[in-house]
Amino acid sequence: MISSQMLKGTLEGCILQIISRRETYGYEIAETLMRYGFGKIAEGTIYPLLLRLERNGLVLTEYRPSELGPKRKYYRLSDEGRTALLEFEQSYRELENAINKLFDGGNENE
Amino acid sequence: MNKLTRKLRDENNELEKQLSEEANAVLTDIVVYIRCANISEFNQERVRRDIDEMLLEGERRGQSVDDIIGGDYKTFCDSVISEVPQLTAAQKTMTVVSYAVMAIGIMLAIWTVFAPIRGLTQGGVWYMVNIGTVDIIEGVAVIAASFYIVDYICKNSFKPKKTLFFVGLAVIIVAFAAALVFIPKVTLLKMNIGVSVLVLAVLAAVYFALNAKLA
Repeated sequence: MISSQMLKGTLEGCILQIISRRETYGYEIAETLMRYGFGKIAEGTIYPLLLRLERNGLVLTEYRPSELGPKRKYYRLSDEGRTALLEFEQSYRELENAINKLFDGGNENE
Repeated sequence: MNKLTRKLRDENNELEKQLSEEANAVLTDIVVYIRCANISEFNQERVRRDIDEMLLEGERRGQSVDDIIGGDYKTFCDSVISEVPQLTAAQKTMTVVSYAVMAIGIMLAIWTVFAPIRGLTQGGVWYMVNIGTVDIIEGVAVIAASFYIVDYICKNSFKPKKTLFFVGLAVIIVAFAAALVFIPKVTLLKMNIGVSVLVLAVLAAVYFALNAKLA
């Protein structure tokens, strides 16, 4: 199980990646994360992060009718969100590279 | 509360009728906690709307409230509140002023309504509103106790601390009882009942104007 501390630093970026693929909603984001091996994450855990992304202008929202009853809030990426996603991916690749070198016995100066 | 906020609140009230008893019980605690947060009424209703939708859809999928929100409701609320725009200093001031205007208006309305009865039973005239130190002390005591009770209920909606609540309330009662004993009983203000009604109308206008600004 991935520790919550590790998830804290990467969950937002991962959520941006999911939203970049297509317009989606909170429960679907949580389900997608679970399918990719992030473990069971409650929609209530995702919701404050989505609020933060919306407040920072990284996602745009729209309410649309749903098959389950009340209007559902859909999220899509804004231009700023696309930029933020690229920056996250770059930082993540650097970190991934550094950690892999450390654990795989690579040369620290490579 | 402005029109848009009122509309959203009414929609939320309707949505919540579709929730189970369990979900409604949890939602009540959440909404009460959020009411005390430093966010506008509009944002409180906006967040409430999103949580209603989460719970409704989750229940229709067969999930429990814990599955939907996660177990710790207070942490959930604190996380949500921290991501919503907070009231600015100007907005906070307007909120405090609007509460003060409301409180003064309610007390003045009570004094105005009872003025004829007091006037006629105490050998005075029915058309004069007399406001003395005792009226003000009693009025402030009731207002202080009301704000204390509401604030306590909001902040402790997930885990009430009953002893502390009653200690706090007792302190307020004792403080105002002491004021009633030691402060001299004098009439501070006398005004015609028509003037009082006019002042009430002005207070009401100020109150609604402030609330319209606080979206």
